[in-house]
Amino acid sequence: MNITVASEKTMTSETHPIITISNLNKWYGKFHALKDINLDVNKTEKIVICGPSGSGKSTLIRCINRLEVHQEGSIIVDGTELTDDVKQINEIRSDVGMVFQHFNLFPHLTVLENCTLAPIWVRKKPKIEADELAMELLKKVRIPEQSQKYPGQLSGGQQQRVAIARALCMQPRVMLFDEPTSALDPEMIKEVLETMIELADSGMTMLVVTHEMGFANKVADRVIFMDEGQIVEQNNPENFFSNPKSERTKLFLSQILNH
Amino acid sequence: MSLLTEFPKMGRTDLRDFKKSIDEGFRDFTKNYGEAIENFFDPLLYFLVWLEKLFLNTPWPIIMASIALLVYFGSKSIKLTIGAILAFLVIGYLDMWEDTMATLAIISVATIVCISVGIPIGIMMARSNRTQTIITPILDIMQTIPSFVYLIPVVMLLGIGKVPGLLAVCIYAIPPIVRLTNLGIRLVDKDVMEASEAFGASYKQKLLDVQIPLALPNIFAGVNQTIMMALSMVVIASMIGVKGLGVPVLRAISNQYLALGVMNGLAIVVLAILFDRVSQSFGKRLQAHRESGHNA
Repeated sequence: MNITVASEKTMTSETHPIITISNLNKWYGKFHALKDINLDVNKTEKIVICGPSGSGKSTLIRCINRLEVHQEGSIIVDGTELTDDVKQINEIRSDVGMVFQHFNLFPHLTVLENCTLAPIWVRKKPKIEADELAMELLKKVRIPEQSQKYPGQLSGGQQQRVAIARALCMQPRVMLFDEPTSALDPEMIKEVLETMIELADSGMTMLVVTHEMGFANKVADRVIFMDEGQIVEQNNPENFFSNPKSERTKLFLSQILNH
Repeated sequence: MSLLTEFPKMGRTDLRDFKKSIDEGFRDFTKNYGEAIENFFDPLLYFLVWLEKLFLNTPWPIIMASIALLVYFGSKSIKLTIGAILAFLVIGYLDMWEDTMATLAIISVATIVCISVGIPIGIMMARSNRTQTIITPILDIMQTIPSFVYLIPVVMLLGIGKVPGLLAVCIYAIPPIVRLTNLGIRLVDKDVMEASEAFGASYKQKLLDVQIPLALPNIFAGVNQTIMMALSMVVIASMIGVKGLGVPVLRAISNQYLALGVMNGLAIVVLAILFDRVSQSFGKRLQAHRESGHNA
C-alpha cells in the first residue's frame, strides 16, 4: 500500500522495462477486479505474484496477453500498447508465452504437434524446423520420448511440462504462469517447479502466479502480494518473507507457510 | 352476442382472396424465375444423372467389389464387409439391384449437398449467437413441417423430376448436420480455445486446426443422422419422380402388394444400417487420441 511507483523504479532502474502496466482498472460487471495497478517488469526479471483466491492475481496476468480486457489504464508490452487492434493483440500474444493451471493442451494432437502448431501457425515456420525446435525443447523439459503420445496418455506433471515446452516453442520474450502447479498431485509439483527453475536460470522474463513459496524464495527477484484487486506489497523475497510490512501480508503468509 | 358464441374470423371472400393472392404471387414468381432457378440446379442434375448411370452401367461385380472396399476401409471390420456383400447379393438376387443403385446415387448426392451446405452454416451458427437464434427456428420448421407441404412449392417451381426430389430430401435431411456442427464447435473446451488464443492464432487457424477436429465426433454424428433422414425420405421423393427403392414401395401401397413393399422396405433398412455402421466406425477412427488415454 505504501509502496509507490517511484520506489519501484529505483529498485530496477538500470534496465528498460519489457512490460509497463499503469493505472490498470478492470471490472467484471460491477465487481472491481483490479484497482489502479502499476507494475513494471524488466527484462529477465522473475516476479512471483501471490495472494488469496479472488485477489485478482490471475486476472492481472491474463490482462497482459488480453485473455481479459481491461477498462482503464494501459499495458505496454515490449513497446506495443494493448488496444482493440486485433493485429497488435496477436503480435503481443505471439511474444508472450502462457502456461495455464489446467495445461490446456490440444487433446487431438500429439505432444510434438502440440508444440509445433503455434510456430507453424503464427511464426510460419517450416514443419521440419518447428519439429527440430520442439524436440530440442521437449528434451529440455525431459520428455522427448513422449513426443508421439497424446496428452491424455501423460501424467499431469508431464502434461504441464509439455505445456511449458509448447509455450517456449514460440520463443517468447515473456512467460506467464497462471498457477501452474495448482492442479497437480503433490508428487508431480516438484518436476514442474524444477523445469521452471531451469527456465528461470536461462534468463527468461517470468511472471508467475503461484502459492509455492519455496519457489518464490529461490527464484523470484520480486514477490508481489495482491489482495482485493490491489498490489498490497512488493519486495525482494528475503524481506518479503522475513519482514512483511502489511498486516494482510503477514496473515496470508502465516496461513500458507504453516501448512 | 354472436361475438361470444362465434370465433371472430376473416370473411369467406376475404380469406379466399388472401389465399388466391399468395398462390398467384407464387405462380408469377415461378413464371419469372422458375427457369433461372432450374438452370441453377442443372449441374446438380447432371451430377446425379451421371452418378446414376455410373452405378447402373458398371458391371455388378465391380460395384460389389468397390462397395466391399469402401466398407472395409471405412470400418476396418471384416464382419461388416462380409455382411455388406451378402446383403447386396440378396438385394440383387431379389431383383432390386437397379432400384438400389438409383437410391444409392440420390442418397450420395443428397449427402454431399447437405455436408457442403450444412457444415458451413453450422460453423456460422457457432460463431455468433445472433445467427444461431435466426437459424434455429428455420431448422425447426424444416424438420417438423410435413414434407408434402414443401413439396407443393418445390413442384410448382421445378416441376416433377430428380432435382425437386433431391431438394425435398435435402430440406428434410440437412438440419441434423447443421445442428450438430454448431453444437460440436460450441462444446469445444474453453480452456483449449484459450490456449490457441494465447498464441495469437487467427480465427481460421483456430477453426480448422482446433475447433473442427475436436468437434468431429459430433459432426460425424450429424453426417450419420443426415444420411439416415435422407434414406427415410426415399419413398416421398419417389412420389415426385425420383427413381429408386421408393417407387416399388409406392406401387405396393396402392396395390396392396405386401411382399413387394416389405422387400423394398427392408432393402432401404439394409442400406441405412450399412451407412450408419460404416460412417460411425470411420468417425471413431478419426479420433485417435480417444483410444488409449487414461483421462481424455
